[in-house]
Amino acid sequence: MIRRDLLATLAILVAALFVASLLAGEVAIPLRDLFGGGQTAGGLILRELRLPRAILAVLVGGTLGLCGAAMQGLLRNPLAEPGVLGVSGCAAVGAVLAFYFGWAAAFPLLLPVGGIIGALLAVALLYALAGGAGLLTLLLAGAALNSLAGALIALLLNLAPSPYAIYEVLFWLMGSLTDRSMAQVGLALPGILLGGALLLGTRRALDALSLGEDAARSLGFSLGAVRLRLVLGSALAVGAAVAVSGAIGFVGLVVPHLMRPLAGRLPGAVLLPSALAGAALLLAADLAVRLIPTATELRLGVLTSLIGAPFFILLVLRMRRQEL
Amino acid sequence: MHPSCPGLSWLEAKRAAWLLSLALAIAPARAAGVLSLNLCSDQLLLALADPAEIVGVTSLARDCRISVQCDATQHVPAVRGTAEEVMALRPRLVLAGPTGATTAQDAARRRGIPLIKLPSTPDLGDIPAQVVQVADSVGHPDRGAALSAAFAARLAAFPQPGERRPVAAIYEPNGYSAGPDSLTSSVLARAGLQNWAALHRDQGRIPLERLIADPPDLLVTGEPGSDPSLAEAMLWHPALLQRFAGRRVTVPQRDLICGTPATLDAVEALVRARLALPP
Amino acid sequence: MKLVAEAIALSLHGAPVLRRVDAAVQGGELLGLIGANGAGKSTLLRVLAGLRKAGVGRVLLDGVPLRHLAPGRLALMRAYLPQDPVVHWSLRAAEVVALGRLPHAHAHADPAADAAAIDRALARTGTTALRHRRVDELSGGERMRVLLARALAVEAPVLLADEPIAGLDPLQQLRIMQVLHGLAEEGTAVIAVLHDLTLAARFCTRLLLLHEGKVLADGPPDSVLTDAHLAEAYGISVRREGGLIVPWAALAG
Repeated sequence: MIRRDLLATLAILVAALFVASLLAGEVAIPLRDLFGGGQTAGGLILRELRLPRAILAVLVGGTLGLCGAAMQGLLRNPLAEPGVLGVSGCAAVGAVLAFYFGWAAAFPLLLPVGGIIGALLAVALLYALAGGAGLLTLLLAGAALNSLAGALIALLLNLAPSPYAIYEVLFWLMGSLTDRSMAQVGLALPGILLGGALLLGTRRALDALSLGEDAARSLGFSLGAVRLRLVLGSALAVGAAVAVSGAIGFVGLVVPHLMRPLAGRLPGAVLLPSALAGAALLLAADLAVRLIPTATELRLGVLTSLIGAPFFILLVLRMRRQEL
Repeated sequence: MHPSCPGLSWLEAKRAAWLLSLALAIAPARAAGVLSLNLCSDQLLLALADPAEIVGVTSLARDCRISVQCDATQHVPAVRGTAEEVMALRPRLVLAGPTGATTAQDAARRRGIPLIKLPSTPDLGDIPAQVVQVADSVGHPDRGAALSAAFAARLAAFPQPGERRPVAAIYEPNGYSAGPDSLTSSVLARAGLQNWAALHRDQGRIPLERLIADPPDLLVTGEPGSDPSLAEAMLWHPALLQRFAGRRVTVPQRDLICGTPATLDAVEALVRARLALPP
Repeated sequence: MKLVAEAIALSLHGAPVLRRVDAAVQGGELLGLIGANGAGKSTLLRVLAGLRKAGVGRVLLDGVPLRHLAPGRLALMRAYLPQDPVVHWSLRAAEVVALGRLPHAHAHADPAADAAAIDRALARTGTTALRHRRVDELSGGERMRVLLARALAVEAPVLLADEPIAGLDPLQQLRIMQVLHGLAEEGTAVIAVLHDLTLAARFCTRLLLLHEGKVLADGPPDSVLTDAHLAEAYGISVRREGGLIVPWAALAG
């Protein structure tokens, strides 16, 4: 069965990249030291630095891929994804507010909660617009949200008490997995798992929606319930992910398009493969970021944007050619 | 400019009014005072002159995280270090640092105001001379002599570095570590420690993995701030906490940014930490 | 299986669209919903399908009001073919037809039964040869038949079709009407909104003629398609030749 093969292949790819991510890093560590365990340098690096980094790459990449596929399925629009539509940006605003003004210091869970609230506001707004609006309006709304988010992040960082805050704008706008710890994995995990489960649950409804809203309803799917799941699921997963990794763009755009020819074009069938492929993509990008020698660290989001933005343009061109 | 609008524009008028009020407010009380344009020259000025003799120090001097003399700024005006302030405030002396505030320094020169550019002090031994220089220029040579004598005495009182010199790394926010020709390096040397960054020929940003893979005997960081930032959070990463448990000391940032008598507090803290290290 | 609408009234934006409509269809019947554009046919069909709530009145499926049926249960009992043959993604015909099995997935998935139902639906609509083709590459008639197959795959006792032959050539129209007629003969209750009076007369066991939101006539084709009814409902006079009903002239007023 094609689908099972695809999932198996993707799972193996993710596992392989995960292991590679543990073995590679800023410093070359011999294998036997790495698995020395306990408080040895190698064991510490593996457990406290590389492991959380790899886990986050899987969680964040999987979230972005899944959410992109779900958004494209629900909005019947191949250009939708959390980055392009401003959801990630608004999540970052919420996280910045929680982090730099001390709330997350008092209650650590307020960090992902801040991200979730930011994402929720963005998705709710987009959904309100998407009802009657076409592709263009949606994309413009996303662009506006992204501009607003960027400006708000810059403003908030300027107002933040810490003098280092201003220089951290790139982290929030471009994203990074450097120096993350298992604490952040713990903070992001609940939102990502819960949101992911909600999104995966929309699989059949998204398939039914291929036939239009009336036919989907006649097949027994409540449209209101699907929308609610998508809004909540995206907000929970993307909000929690961005709170610990910053806004990483374009993963959710590229990955479903790559998976569609392989998984079949049914929107529901693309969900799980997109999650796995997103995890693989981010693991690979994070590896590249560590192995490419640059003076200062190359941000993860820079790499994904370098791949994703030209891809986006190509997609738009292809769509316009099809219309003609 | 505009033929139908002779005279000042609204914006220019507002600006002029502000400068005038600044001058009127400050000038009579502090006629012939000293202006400082740099955080480090602020420290020495505040330590050696009376508040009434100071026309202005930088706003950075008020931040206790980076300024030793932050409490002394209560009755001293803060300036931004612009040329206009130099013109408006008419100080009798301007103190500046090795970099920055170039337009203000040019303005001072043009007006014939004496300007003293204090170089940075990469060695502890440079500090007393600078103290004396500033004290003389503000008209309190006695204070300068006393302060520099106390400095020299205290410096000499520290135990000499022994045979074994443990390696210490000073890890600053964002993972920076100062190289061999710096004040921090000199402080480490006097405390009987080697500079990890200098040994590894590593400067600039040091990744956490490097620090853990090739650890120093002692990790030195600033005190944990109450204002969150990612830059400072990385200094408290679980990996560092585990790796350097019992081999870690905090030294306030402000002691190491500028070469002042307070820098010896840092030396003292490091000596104590060295002696507390397990053999 | 009997689908009954009792005293349905509905307004849209303040204007009444359906005024006290009674309709019924049972297994074995092919009921044609006819009337002028804007007479309320599609709206009535959607009310009967449970996709639209009526302001007044109720719809009963085998005696049970629709609103008492869970969406999943209702989906198994009636299939709906919308007017607009939209398929948003470039799916293969077999994938589209397979979507008709989704209501059965709620209860329990049985891949063998699903596959058999899909094959049956494709065979019935004569689209078996198209199963691996992408729907966006098919002609209008082929696509309509594939979507009809999707509705057939539900294998529900009631089928509601909104203008299933609109815009198709005579051959495609004939094929689809034959499928609907065959379904009715096997016991399914079928309702179709139609514009073609000849085909309606030929294939439907009963006709319901709507005029300005009210039932003008309800009964066998002969009793409904009288000159008087057509004049009132469509404002036309017709010529009859053999089985053909040919719109002839517009009537004044």
